[in-house]
Amino acid sequence: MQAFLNQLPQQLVNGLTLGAVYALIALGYTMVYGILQLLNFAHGDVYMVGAFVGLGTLNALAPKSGLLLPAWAILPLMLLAAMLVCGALGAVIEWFAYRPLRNAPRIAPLISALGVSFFIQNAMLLLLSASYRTMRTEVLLPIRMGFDIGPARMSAVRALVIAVALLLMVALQLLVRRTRLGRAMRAVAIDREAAAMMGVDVDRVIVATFVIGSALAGAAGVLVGLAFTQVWHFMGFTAGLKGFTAAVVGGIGSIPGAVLGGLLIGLSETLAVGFISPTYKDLIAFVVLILVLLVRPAGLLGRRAQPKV
Amino acid sequence: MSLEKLGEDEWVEQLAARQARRGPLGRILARLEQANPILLGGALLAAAALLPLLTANEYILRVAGNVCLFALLALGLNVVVGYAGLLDLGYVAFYGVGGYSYALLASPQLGLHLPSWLAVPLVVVIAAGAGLLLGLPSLRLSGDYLAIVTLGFAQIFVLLANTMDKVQLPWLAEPLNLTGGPNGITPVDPISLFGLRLTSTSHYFYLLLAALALLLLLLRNLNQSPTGRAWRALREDTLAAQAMGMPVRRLKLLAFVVGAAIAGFSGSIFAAWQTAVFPANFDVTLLITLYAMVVLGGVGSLPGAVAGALVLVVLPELLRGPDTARLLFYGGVAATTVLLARPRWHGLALLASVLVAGFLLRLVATASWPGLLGPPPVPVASGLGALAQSWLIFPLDAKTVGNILFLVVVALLMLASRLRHAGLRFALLVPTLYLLAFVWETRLAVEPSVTRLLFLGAILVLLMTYRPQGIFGKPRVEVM
Amino acid sequence: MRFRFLLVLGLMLALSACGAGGAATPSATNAPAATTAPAATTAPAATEAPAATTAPAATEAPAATTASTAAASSDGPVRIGILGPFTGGAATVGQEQLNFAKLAVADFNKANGTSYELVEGDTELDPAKAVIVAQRLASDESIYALVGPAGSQEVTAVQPILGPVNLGFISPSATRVDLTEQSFTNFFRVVPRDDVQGATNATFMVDVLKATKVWLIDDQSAYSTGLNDQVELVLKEQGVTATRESITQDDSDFSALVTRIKGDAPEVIFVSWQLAPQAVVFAKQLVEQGVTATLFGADGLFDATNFIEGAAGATDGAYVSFFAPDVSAVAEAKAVVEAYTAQYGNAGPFGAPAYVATMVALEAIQRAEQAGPLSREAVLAELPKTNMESSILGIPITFDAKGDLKDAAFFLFQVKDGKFNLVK
Repeated sequence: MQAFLNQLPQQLVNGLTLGAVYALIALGYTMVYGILQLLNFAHGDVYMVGAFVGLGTLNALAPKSGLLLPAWAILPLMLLAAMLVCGALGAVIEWFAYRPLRNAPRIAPLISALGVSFFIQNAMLLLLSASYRTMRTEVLLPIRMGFDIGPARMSAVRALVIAVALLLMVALQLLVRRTRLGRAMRAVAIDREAAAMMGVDVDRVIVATFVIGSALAGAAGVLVGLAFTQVWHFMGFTAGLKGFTAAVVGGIGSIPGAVLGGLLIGLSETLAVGFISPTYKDLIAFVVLILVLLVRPAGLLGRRAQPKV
Repeated sequence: MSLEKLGEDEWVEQLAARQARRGPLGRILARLEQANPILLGGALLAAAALLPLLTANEYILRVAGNVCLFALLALGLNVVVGYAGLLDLGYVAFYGVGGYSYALLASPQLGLHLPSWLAVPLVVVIAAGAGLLLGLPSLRLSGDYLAIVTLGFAQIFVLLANTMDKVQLPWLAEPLNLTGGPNGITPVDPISLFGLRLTSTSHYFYLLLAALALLLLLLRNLNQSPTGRAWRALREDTLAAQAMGMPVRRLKLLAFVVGAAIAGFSGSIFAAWQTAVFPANFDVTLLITLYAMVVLGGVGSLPGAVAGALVLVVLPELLRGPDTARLLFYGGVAATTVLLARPRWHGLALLASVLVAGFLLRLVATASWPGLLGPPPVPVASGLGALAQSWLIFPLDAKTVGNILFLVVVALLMLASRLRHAGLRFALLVPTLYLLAFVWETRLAVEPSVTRLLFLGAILVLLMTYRPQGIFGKPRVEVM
Repeated sequence: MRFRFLLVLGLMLALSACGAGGAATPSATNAPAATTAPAATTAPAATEAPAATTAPAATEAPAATTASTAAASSDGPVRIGILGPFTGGAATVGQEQLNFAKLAVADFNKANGTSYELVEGDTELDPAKAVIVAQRLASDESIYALVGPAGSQEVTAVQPILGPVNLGFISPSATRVDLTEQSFTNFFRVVPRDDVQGATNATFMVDVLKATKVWLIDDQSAYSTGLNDQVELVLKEQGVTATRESITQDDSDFSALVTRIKGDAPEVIFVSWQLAPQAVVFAKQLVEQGVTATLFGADGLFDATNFIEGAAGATDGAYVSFFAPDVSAVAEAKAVVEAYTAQYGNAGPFGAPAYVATMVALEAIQRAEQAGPLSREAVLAELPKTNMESSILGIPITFDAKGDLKDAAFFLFQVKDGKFNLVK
């Protein structure tokens, strides 16, 4: 019992970091699904591209010889670059691979998404080769830099990840609740045709959703790169799956749900590793998912779409 | 033909005009369409059965056998996704259950060596049971929630297969090695049919072909039976079906079970053929390939599933060899350009312009900046490759330039495909096609394994955006 | 519309059928005169790219053969195949092996005036695909030996295909013990088995590191679990508490595991992972949470760029076992590694064995050619007679009766002062 209590605070810190990242990825999934009922399988690969952009920016601004800019300037630049590139990428993907399929049966954009995912992954493989890259976070934030919360240690990188994720989530919530675009997005999510009749430019809203969702994924990529330092062409696959699970657990289509789902999955995974077994952590995450869906079949905060006849 | 989606009525009106415009090939194809599908299918399968007599090349036979295996799987998936409209992302797990069950029943792993006439039906029952088990709790879940739960199931299956090589049972002193872990179960007994042990590739090809023929017949009958009609109703509008008093839950469960049984059967044959099973055989990549096959061929269509399997097994194999890949590439680009252009000679004119532009560029470049040019990264001695390489010019740092131009070409192609104005498109396509050839010679041909998958991804996207109903599917417009 | 579609598809298939028919007698001309650049397939033109260092490549000619009579005594091109995961999750390993193999073919051709070619076969680390590719290569009459496959499961899967056609294959990375216990006469490997490494590592942990509690973490690959099984066996015999856990190669966050380890406080943590960057993340998180256990890695981690430089000090003091003395310290290897780095980037631990395996295959083919008409059986007969006095691995290469490397041993290194220092 004592051991359990000793480890718990640290595991909570670990879980929070992971959960924050999953939440960011889940947000992108949920936003797109809410508007298009499309599972964007290419989302994980956009996240991967974001990580690479962050890596490129870091290597450009902090070469082996020294930092060209102070650390507190480089970090936001990395995030900005990744978000811009990923946002643009998301818009391009939507324009080319999903827009022609707006009226097609649901499964067609799914396969198109898979094709895009394959393409992006292998394009990165072709351009950048298969080797892992390491993000040299320690030049910006030394490994031992951090502070203690009781027996737990919160390193500077983790604190940064959690803080930035929180910031982005709050910004998104403000966007959706307080701006015209956000209102338009909510309207399109509820009923696309009615929103169009109300004068909402549905195409623009959809593009905006993709851009924002992809930008969030890009930011998540940079944060993961900073926190866990590995960047490679296949990293989007697992992260995408986890993000997707988180979005579903929280109720797909619901933004606060995605956040909640992300945190839940992150925490349960971490606690499972810490107290049960790392070997079976995926199994336990799956069990959590099943339990949640058994109790609430539409996810924690999801609203069962009433089929209108 | 533009991308405007026409309503069914207008299409019917234009049908007569279109039929009058058909050439001889179109008329032949139309006649084939109206032929009795059973006879047509039977003829094709009989032709396929001649394959082992025509070639002794083990590789070709193995690929053919694989096509049949994947066709079986695609058909099973078609039942779940196409007939009942359930997004089951855990389908490979049933395939795995089938494979592992057979391996456990007919190998030294547990000491059981059940004869095939007992083992295979048992495996089908077990897989069907697994389908029932997964189907029951999933019934409450709608579309995408079902997807994630079934996907989780598939992941868990692989996880368990990977880790259950040390199962601690309380009544055993030593941990039991159930699944062999990452090393799988090997060897697995081959299938023996009526006393004949099936060991060679052609044996299994015939077995799989026969199974395919049988399954096609079965599914066709099922499709036309009341159950099939009920499934179609379920797929089109679940609420209406329910309102009509159909037993929706039972129908969904039945679809699950039938799909799982087919997958399980395929798994047992696969295990016997490979004489081994590994967890790596049942990963998510396979699931994605199966889905691609079903959707490519047309969801809900029997010949579509087979066609999808054919394309997605054969095409990557063809793209493996650099020579074949190069031929396919240049031939494909040329053919597509000509066939998609209207009128046809525009396409030929485009190709001619590209060739001329290339020559001009080469003349100018070799005359003005010879110092900036270098040899091709992977020189080809003769054939199409040598021709292409003598026509193109290569800068010194071909790799980096090739990488950058790769991105440029992708952007240009996307742009060109969406442009409406014919003249602009023509102008854009000339440099695009040239750069495409350049990127091929400098980067894509150099790494055939990666290029294969790149093309697969591109083909999936293009196929879906231009023909979302697949090859044999019917165009459907969703009324929101 | 559909028919046009089918037409395009049909056309492409027809074209490729022609291509496939043509490829069997490949369009590349068989060059009886030695020095034409290898056709289409993958041997990099080391002589072409001006940036690459070409002169050192010439010194890599294996000592055994001198520049021989170049005229190929076989009609038709002579090729070797390589099987490996060139795409997918394990592409890091596969691509490195492939590129080193390409380099080896180019170096051998340059030194001996031959024009052997390399054909690649992507297995995507899936045994089912490995079977198809192996079959493809086996059906290609111009292929006389194979390098690979990379994974132990794949070896098991492809053996029934390669055995009947007498195609010899040399794996640069399959280390499972029982692969050479099954009397496959055509399987060889240039890396030692897991039981050799297991015994070496475990003994070191007990005798030198005086460990009483050890955590063994594998990454669920066949290689890793097999190795950990062997280490656990020996540790248990010595009465050491061994805790087994596993992660997967997709994991990037180990902080939960680290916290758990911290609570258990072992002296040594053995990570038999294939991916050095993963181990580096693990090490960094160990430091972050203040865990003082000694990290011990297997040959997958023997990658200076990733494991030492990329770690920014987190891996100082860690031990790594490797089946060769430090490749960068071996004089022969230096030139090869430089050529590789110039052309392909960082050279990791998986490449050198692939280079050696390719050389073994090529030498066997050359000897077979000189002995008489070239055939797969002849090459297969030559392979067990391999006797390379030196190789870029820094050890001589000979095979024992089972196909294993003779006198294989593992060397233990410690990370100190920014490099690997030989300890034992």
